[in-house]
Amino acid sequence: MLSNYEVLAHIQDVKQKYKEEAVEQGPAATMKPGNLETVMKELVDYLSSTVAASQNPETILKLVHRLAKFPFEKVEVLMIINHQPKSETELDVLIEELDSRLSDDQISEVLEVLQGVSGAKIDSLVAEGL
Amino acid sequence: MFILTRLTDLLTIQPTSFTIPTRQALEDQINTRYANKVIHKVGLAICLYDIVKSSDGLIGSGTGNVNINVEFRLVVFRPFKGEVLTGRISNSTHQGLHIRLDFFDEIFIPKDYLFEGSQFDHNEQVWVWRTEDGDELFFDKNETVRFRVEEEEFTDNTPVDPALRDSLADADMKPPYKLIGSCYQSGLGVVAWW
Repeated sequence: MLSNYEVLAHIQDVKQKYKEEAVEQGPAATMKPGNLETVMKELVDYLSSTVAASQNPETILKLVHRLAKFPFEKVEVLMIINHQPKSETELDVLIEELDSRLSDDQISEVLEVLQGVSGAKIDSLVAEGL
Repeated sequence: MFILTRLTDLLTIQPTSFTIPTRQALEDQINTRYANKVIHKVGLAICLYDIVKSSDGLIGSGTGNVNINVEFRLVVFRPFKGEVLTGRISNSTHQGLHIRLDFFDEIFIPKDYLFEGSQFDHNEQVWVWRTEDGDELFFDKNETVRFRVEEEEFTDNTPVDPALRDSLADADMKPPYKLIGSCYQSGLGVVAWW
């Protein structure tokens, strides 16, 4: 399983590689297959509108470490990374039976952790008056 | 949402491609063959992830093509059942909502999987959710919605012998890969509501 961020990073790598090859060998020798071009563009469009665009390996690693003490399944952690829920309702959608598995204190702790990781971005949005 | 899948395939490099490095020629071949295509029971292939191993090239007699067995990994779009995704409403009918992601269009939310109390407004051609408090919330076109994946459907569209095929028109062709979603839990639905 890959997180959205990993896929986005991989596509950007592929694009970069094609660019470098074009410099070395001339543009004609390195024409990309048309279907690849299409799917890469559409996927980048989609992923840029998600939180993946503002993530990097360090923040994801930090998030995973901090979530390790909660009783989440692997796929649940993956969904939390992909969505970065901001409220309890959003978290409740991702995690089955959230209420019975975690206490209220733990839930607010999870939300705090998520807030902390994406905090920098929210601060900048507040600064812009959004 | 995305998984890695390991595949093996026999690839052919034509003599015209001998000038470019073998690795690059193979990567192009794999991407041409799989990118943006649905693999039956696997999912929608996005692009090559990496090449695991490849055999020595063998030249077939008569053509001059080099044949290479390659083992590689692909990035594949295959959300698991129960996964929550976000997409946009592309179309509403009295049967339900059609959702699209930028790269994948075949997602359908049947009316039975919408919130209790949802009704289709024929004049406006939108679904309206009347909440218990009496509020009216609209599933407008192009609105970003969060939904849960409930089912997946693969259809094998391998061409059949024209003699055996009955008079099914091409219009009846089903998409090779289709997702059925749901939207009946608080937190799901238009993202701006929550």
